[in-house]
Amino acid sequence: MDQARQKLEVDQNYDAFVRMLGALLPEHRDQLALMRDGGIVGFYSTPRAALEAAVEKFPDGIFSVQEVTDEPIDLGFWSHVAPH
Amino acid sequence: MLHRIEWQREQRRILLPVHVLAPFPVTDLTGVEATALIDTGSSVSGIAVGIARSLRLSGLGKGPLKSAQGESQIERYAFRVAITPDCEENGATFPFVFEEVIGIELTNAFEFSALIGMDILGQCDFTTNRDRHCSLAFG
Repeated sequence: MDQARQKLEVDQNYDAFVRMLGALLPEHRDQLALMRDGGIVGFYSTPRAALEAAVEKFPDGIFSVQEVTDEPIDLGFWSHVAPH
Repeated sequence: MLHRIEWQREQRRILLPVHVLAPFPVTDLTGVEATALIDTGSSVSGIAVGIARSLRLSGLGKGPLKSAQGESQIERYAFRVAITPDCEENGATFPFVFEEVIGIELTNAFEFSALIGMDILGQCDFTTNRDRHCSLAFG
């Protein structure tokens, strides 16, 4: 797989995803959006389902998967340490 | 079938030996050994940079990370975690492989190389007591 192309794909898809997120949340909250070329090609309930679809649709491995949520990742043990 | 592993934790943290596997093909069970921190405060699991590189994982997406410094974007990776349970009644000990998760990449600076967050821990029955005894049941 072309790693540089994949990184670009992830970045471009994320930019498009952030712009769409507000409209997606009412119907697709907590689902996984499979993306290619800045567009969503499907919604899936589990990582496995999303990855199986991705491997079938995009044998070149160029795609991204975004979780439809407005809740940020929380890393608990270190993420709330106050720096001084 | 319910699998179980029991072990003694350290005083101030809970570490567990695991295997980390690439997300696909699902039939590929070769993985990388890792020491995982059990972290009930983390919403997602994670693996160290070195493990991600060993498994030749590519970033799959991004997500916002909440921290004391505010919000930032981090890359997400898909991987699988396998845990080898204690001996079954018939003496067999096959690793149990959890379904793929979309987790995060950790730096290599910690004394553990994986993080088991609530995305995986939520699929288990986990207990620990004041004698440092831990039990994890899954499957």
